[in-house]
Amino acid sequence: MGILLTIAWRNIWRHTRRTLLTVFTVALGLMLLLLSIGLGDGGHYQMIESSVRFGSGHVVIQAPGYQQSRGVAKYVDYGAQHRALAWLDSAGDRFGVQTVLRRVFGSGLAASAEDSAGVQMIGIQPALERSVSRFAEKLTAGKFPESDDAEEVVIGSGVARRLALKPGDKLVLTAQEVGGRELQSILVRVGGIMRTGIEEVDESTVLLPLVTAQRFLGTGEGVHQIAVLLRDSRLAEPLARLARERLPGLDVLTWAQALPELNDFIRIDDAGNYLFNTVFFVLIAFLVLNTLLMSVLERKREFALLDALGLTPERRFSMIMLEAGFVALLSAAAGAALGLLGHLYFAVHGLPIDWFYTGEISAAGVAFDPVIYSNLSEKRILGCIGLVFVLTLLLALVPARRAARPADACLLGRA
Amino acid sequence: MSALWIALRLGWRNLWRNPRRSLITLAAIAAAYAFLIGMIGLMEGLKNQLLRNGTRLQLGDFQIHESTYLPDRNINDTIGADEGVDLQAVLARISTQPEVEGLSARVYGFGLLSTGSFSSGAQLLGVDPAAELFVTTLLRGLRPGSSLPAGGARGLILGQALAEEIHARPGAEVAVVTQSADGTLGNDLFHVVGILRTGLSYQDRSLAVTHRSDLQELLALAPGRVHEVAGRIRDPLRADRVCALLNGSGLLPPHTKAQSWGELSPQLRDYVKLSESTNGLMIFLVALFAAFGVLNTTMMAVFERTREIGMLGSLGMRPALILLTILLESLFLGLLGLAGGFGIGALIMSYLATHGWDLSRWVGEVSMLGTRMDPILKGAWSWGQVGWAAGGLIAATLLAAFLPARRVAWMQPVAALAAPTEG
Repeated sequence: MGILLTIAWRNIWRHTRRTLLTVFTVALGLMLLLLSIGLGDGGHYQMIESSVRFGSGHVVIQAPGYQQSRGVAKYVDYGAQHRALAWLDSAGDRFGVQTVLRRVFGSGLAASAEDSAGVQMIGIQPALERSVSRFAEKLTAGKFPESDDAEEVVIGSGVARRLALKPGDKLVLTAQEVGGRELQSILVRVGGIMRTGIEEVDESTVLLPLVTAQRFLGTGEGVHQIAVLLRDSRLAEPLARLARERLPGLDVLTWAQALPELNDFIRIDDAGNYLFNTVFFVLIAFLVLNTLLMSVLERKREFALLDALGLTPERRFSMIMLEAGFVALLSAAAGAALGLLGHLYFAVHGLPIDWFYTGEISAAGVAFDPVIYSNLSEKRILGCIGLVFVLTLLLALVPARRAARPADACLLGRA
Repeated sequence: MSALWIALRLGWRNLWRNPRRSLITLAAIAAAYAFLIGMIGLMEGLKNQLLRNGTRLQLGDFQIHESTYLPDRNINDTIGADEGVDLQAVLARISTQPEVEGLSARVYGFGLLSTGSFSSGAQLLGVDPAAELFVTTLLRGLRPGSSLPAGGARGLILGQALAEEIHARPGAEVAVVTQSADGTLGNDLFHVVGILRTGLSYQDRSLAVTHRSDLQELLALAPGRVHEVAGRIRDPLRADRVCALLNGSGLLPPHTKAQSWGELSPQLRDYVKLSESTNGLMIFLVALFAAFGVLNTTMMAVFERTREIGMLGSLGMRPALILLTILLESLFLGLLGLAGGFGIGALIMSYLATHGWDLSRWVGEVSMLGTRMDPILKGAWSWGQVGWAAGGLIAATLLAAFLPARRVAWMQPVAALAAPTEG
């Protein structure tokens, strides 16, 4: 085996140019694969993080049926909230619970001196939201309310534009309260204006302090949603599974269930990337096979000589496989080095996608961040490198079997 | 002429001196081209679909507004402003443009919808259902058996999620409260005649459609006052030109402006542009890899023939002609590969164009760029880009032949004749 190793190593350097070209082709392919997966996963991770921080949380606890039809009367009452919060507190460490947010939702009409507009109202705990959610980061004017019962609101930039409002102005919110048949109105002051880049949010959202919203909508101590933010989104599924057992009478959803459209978008995007990567790699494999096969075909005379010298078919087969193994090792190493360098660059500096787009872009109700940071798990990296290595070896089976065929002794007579 | 003829014949014959090697390389070029045709087809199909859904669902190919209406959508900024216009005459004038296929005048408002104990804010849209059908598919999303009655009947069509939220079924009565154009609070009772499902969660949650004249009455707007005229033209990609034509024609009332879907939905236009540059990048990458693959073959084919080339040189063949011979050999290889690839690609595309790629196993309805993505993605030919792909691959093949050929063609014949057999 030792001598075969030496021969194989020397063989691949008999055609330095050709070997380097093959290694370079495979390495470039591996690099592109790592970059495309890194940027794809990174983009999806950012979409999930952004939408759980705007909307739902990694895990959402709601009253039964609230997800299907959002009636203002379907709230989680004080007792159930208390149970849920106590359980989350006890389980928090195991699942890396970062924050638990309580929210109230309602829809109504907002009117300024200028005009009126339909709005979606979200009752939030300002102090908590400011520390974890994206709303506070997106303020373009004014400030976030200070306390849970301030009569101060944050409005989307579209609402501000349509109603000609600026911080400090007053507006009247009108909505129907729980159980009542009468419309309720409340006079509030604009504290801040936010611009999220998501048209639906900017055009229609009004954020109210939680207690003010509860009073206005008549939910008492009740909230519509308990949103749990985690340090690691992968723990959402196990936490939700356990919560379903421990919190009977409440609906527990993961972000994927609470935001089915986003989940679908990510799956469709992944499917597209998979298709592209697979077909692209098959193509690269084909080109590499081409080279491997041809370099074996032109060495017929050499194999005839090796056959005459007593090298068995098995050993000729092994020799070609070892050559391919060296090529695969070199390619995987070079490709991994190039790919990881690229990944590190994009993980730190990011890829600014506003190079390609002039405005804001959104999909599945989530605005893309203007800069995408590459995100690669060890599993992905090892998977890609392994795939390329194994694929190259598999491809080498074709030429290696050809080399093992009995050689034509007549070839030895030729020049 | 005869020199070119010699080069052509030599190139063609050289190609078949090692048929297996040529066929393997040819297969690689064919695979690369077929891959590009399929991917370009899917991208083009997605682009067409997003463009179609983006314009046909509600936007229209172009819209005409009072120049101050967007983006604030102030209820008083109707077309023709306070003086008003003869709407029918304006519509008739615009319809004389040959490319315009349909026009729909629309009225917008915001209101609070209430069914007793449930209520929700909604975007009110007033249309003439007959005209709207020529412009968008908005009202085709209705559940079967329902349609918007004539003006005066106060029929209301609700987005599905909105209807569920306020517990309104067809036949239910809904009170609509809104601020009207004269600043007073308008309110009226409507009855639900249908449920609308666009597949866009935002629309389904907020849209309430009624007859234009009913909404004008609710908002205290005169019958000739509308906020928007949406139009459809034969080829959406010509919308910018049609708008420029309309804006310069004097057919529009003063202070109004026609805008194409690209101006109204910049992200959709960005996507259409981006899909072309993404395809360009893909063509470049595949051509690059194809060049590497073919380079290996041509290096082998050229260097092992060094002695033969030296022979040609000593017989008096000029280096340029030798180079031409090798390039022609590669060109033949590339053209044959493209022909094969086109055949395979056409097969793939005929499947993709009729059956499409069914994504519904993985996903439900997905919104993208403010419009809807259908669960079945169909392929569409983009001849321009398929042509670019062919050009890219031929360029890659020729480049791959040029690099080794250049070195050999200008060698001293004596040195070339003394070269070892293997290169």
